[in-house]
Amino acid sequence: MQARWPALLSRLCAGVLGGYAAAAVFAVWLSYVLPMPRADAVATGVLISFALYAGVIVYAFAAHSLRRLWFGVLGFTGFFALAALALRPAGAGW
Amino acid sequence: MKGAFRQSMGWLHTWTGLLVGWVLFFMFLTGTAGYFDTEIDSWMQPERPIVQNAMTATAAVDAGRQYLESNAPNAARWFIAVPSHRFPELRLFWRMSPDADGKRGRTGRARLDPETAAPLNYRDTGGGQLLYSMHWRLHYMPVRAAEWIVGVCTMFMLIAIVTGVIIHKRIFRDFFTLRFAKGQRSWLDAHNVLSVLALPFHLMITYSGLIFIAYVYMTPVITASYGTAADAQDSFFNELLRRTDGASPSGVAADLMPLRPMVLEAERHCGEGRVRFVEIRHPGDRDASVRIGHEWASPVRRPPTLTFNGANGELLRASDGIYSTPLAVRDVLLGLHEGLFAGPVLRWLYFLSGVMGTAMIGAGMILWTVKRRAKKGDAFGFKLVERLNVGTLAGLPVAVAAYFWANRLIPVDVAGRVAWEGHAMFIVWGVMLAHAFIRPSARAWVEQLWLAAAAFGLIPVLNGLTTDKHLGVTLPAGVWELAGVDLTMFAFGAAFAFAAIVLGRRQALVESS
Repeated sequence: MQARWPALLSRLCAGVLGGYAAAAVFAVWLSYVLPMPRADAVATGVLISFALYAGVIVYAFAAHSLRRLWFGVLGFTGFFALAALALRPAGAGW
Repeated sequence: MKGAFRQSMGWLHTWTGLLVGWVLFFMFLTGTAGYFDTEIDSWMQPERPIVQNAMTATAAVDAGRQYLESNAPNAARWFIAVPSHRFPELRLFWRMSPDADGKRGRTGRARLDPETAAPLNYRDTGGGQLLYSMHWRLHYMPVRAAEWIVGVCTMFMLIAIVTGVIIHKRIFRDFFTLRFAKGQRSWLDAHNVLSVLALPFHLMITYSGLIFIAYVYMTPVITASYGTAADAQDSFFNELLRRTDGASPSGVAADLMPLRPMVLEAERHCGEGRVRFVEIRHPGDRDASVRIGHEWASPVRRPPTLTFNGANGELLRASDGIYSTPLAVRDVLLGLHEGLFAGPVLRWLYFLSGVMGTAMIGAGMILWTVKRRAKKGDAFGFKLVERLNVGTLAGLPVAVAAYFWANRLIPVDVAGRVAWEGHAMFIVWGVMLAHAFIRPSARAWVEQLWLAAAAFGLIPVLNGLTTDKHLGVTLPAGVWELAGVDLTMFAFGAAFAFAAIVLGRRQALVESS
C-alpha cells in the first residue's frame, strides 16, 4: 500500500474509531434482542464485540474505496444504533 | 485484486506488529513467567521449609478459623485456602465491614505453616506474583492507565494475528519449513513456525486477554442496560453471577457452627483432598454463610461449591459453577488464559507456548530490520527500531534475570525491598537500552546476549551461595518446584550463550571478508 497520508488517516479513523462504535452499538443492540436475562445478554454482547471490532479494522484496510468503507461503517453503526434506540427497555441508560 | 488485498494485509501486519511489538514482548515475557508464579514465589522465599506432610483440609480449616477468630473477630468475610500442591501454605484472608461512609472494608492476610499452623514470616518479596502482574498492570502507573495501554496493545496483537493468518499462504507446508543460516528467509521461517505451531494459544491468549478487562473497554454496552449510576457495574455483576446472599448481615449474633462437618460433607461430594477453600460471610451473625469450593479440575474458572448456613449448618445449595452459557464461555476463556487448572505437563506446555509467543514477537521485530537493512540502514527510524530491539529483546531478559538477582542480593531486612526488587529490574532495563544506543548495534547484540547468558546461567550458583535451597539439596530431595526454577534459569543461560556464539561467529565472518 502506498502510504498516502490523508487516505491512510481516513482508514485508521474508520477502523479504530468507527470500528469501536460499530462494535459497541452492535453489542448493545444484541443485548436488547437476545432472549435471555439481561446480564447474560450484555455479557454475550461484550464477548462478541472484540471480534467485530477486529473485523472492522481489517476491513478498513481491505476496502477498495474510502467512500465504500465509510458508507459501510457509518451505515452499519447507524442502523444498529437506531434499532437499539427503538428497542431500548425502560430504565436503560439512554 | 487478490494481490492488492494480501499486500494491504501484509502492510497492516507489519505496522501493527512493529508499533507495539516491544510492549507485547514485555507482556508475553512476564506473562509466560507467570505460569510458574507460585514456583517463583517459593524460590524467592528460600526461608520456607520444604513441606513434608501438609495437614488435611479439616485440620487446616479448624486452624484457620482459630487464627481468624483471635485476629479478625469482627470481619465481614473470612477466606481460608487449604494447602495444596501448588500452594503449599495455609493462606488466610479477611475483609472488615464497610465504613460508615460506604467505603470497602480493610483487608488483611496471613500465612500459616501447613504442618504446625504457626504464623510464617518470610522475607518480603515481589516474587512470581509481581512478575506475573506486570504483564497486565505494567509498573509505575495507575491500574486504569495500564489497563488501557494493555488493551490497545492487545487489540493490535489481535489484528496482527488475523492479518498474519490472511497473508500466510501455505500454513501447513511452512509448518515443516525451517531453513537455517539463510538470513532474512530464516527469520521469516522462524517467525512462521513459532506463529503457526502455537497459533491456537496465541489466538486464545489474545482474545481472552481482552475479555478480562472487557468491562472497562466496553463500558457503554453495560451502561446501555444498567444506566450510569455508580453501582451500575456492581449490579451487572451481581446479576451475572447470581449473587443473592451475603449482601448484609442481620445484626443478630449467633455462634458459627463447627466447620469440620461441612468440610467432610463437601469431601463426600467432591472426593477427599479436593476441598480448596472455605469462605465465611458474616461470621458470628445469624445470616452467616459458609461456601466451600472444590479443586479446579477444568478450564471453567468458577469452581463447584457447596453453601451452608453458618448458624445451623444446613446445606443451602450445591453449585456446579455454571450459571449461564455466556458466563460459562467467559469463564472458560479466562480459565484457559490463566491455566490454573493445568497439571505439570499442561503447565509446561503453557509455558512453552508462551516462550514461543515471546520468540515469535522477537523474530518478527528482527525480521523487520533484516528486511530493511540494505535499503534503509541509515534512516533514523531504522536505527531507532534496531536499538530498541537490542535493548528489549536481549535487554529485557537481562532485566528479568536482575530481578532474580535482586531477590537474593538485597538484604532481607532492608525497608522497601519489594519496591527495590522491581526498581532493580527497570534500572537494568534502562541501562540495557542506553547501552544499545551507545554501542554499534552488532556489538550491542553480542554483548547483551552474553550478559543474558551469564545473568541467567549463574542464578543457580548465586542461589547456592546465598541459600540452603540450592540444586545440591533440591535435586536429591526431588523438590521439583524449586529445582525446576534453577534448571530453567540455567537452560535460558545456555540458550542465550548459544545465540551469542552463533551471532559472534557470523560477525567475525562478515568482518574478515
